[in-house]
Amino acid sequence: MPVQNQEPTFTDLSHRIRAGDKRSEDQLSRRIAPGITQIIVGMTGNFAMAQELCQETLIIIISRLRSQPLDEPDKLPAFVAQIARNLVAAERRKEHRRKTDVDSEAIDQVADQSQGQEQDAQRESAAVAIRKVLAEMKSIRDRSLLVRYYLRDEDKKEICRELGLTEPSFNVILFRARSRFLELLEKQGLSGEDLFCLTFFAVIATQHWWI
Amino acid sequence: MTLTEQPTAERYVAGTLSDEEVARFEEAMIDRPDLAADVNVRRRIKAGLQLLEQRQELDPLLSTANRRPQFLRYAAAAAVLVVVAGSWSVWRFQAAGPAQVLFSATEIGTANVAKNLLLARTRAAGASVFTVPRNAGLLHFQILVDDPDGTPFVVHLAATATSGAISFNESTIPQTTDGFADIYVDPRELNSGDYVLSVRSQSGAEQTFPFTLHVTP
Repeated sequence: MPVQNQEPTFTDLSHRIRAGDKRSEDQLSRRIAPGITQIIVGMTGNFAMAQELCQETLIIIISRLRSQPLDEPDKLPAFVAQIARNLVAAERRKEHRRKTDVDSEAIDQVADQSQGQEQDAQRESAAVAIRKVLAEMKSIRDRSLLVRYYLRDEDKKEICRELGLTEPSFNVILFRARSRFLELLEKQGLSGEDLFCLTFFAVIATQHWWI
Repeated sequence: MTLTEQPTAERYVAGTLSDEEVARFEEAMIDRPDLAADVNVRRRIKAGLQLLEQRQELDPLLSTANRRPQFLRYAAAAAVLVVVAGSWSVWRFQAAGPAQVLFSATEIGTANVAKNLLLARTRAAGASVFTVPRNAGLLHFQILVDDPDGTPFVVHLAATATSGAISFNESTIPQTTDGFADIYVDPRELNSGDYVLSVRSQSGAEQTFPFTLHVTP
């Protein structure tokens, strides 16, 4: 017998949120937050900023769904993605104004430094983890595979051909490297997404005055 | 994430999707946290590698094998020579002492197989007795192991002579076929007598299979 997909549809979630169901807000937020974060990272290259703007996006979405239903709830992903993009654009405009606004320079420098430090910390922890993964790989060929695939964005088939690998072997090397990388990141502490989730749910819990 | 989505995630991170494809993929990520998680890992690995490259730490990692100092390599080579020479001396003076009689399936190449023999532990039966020709080819032992998933198995053969056990080489069985672990034995180096084949699984569990071999000329 086929396993039924228990995931509620966006239409269901929208209706429940409109009816005041807080669990559905939580469910929706957890489902869409990783995608929102990645859209923002894609536009800014900044993991720390992505977490901040993701929170803002979620607050806007939840507030909107609480107050007014969407005309086409099944198109929620497109709506969410657009809000995330708009927030990035607004942030860029703000950034541009900051650079030309002498009066607020001191305050903004503090804000920039804090976000910059967080960004550096995320990149640093990724670098530490991937350096260890590479160092643990005995074969230079496997290390080269990792760099060519993830850093140089080279085609998998081309890499396999040049390194004399079958595609299943390639996938095994990649799978092991990814697993080890994630294991090392987890050992370094909470991941960015975990921190984000904790922060967001603390924020959203205090946002009921919005509607 | 399905396999067909992987190239899209690759291309999304590489920035080679068209605007329309990006929009569709981003909507899919909103709906699918697993897809977003995959992109997240790719980006973090990429960011880490970029930082290593900026700091010029990447090239040394790619050009250097996990090398030991040169003198250690010579010392290791010397140690191997000593062990090999020692083993050869011991083998030479043993009463019945071929160094290698066990072969895995990958080692036999196109060698002829003279007989297929089944080794299984049963409550009723005693040790199996096999009569095999000395020079007709390899003996293919199909071993019915308790845990077919316990690969790789380390296989060891010993002759249980009254004057003391004589061990032969160990071999490895990387995988089972239909529940059987396959190993090949070269009878040219064996005398008639009692033997024990032991099979150790990856978890350390060991099964032993005693048998008697009559080797005919």
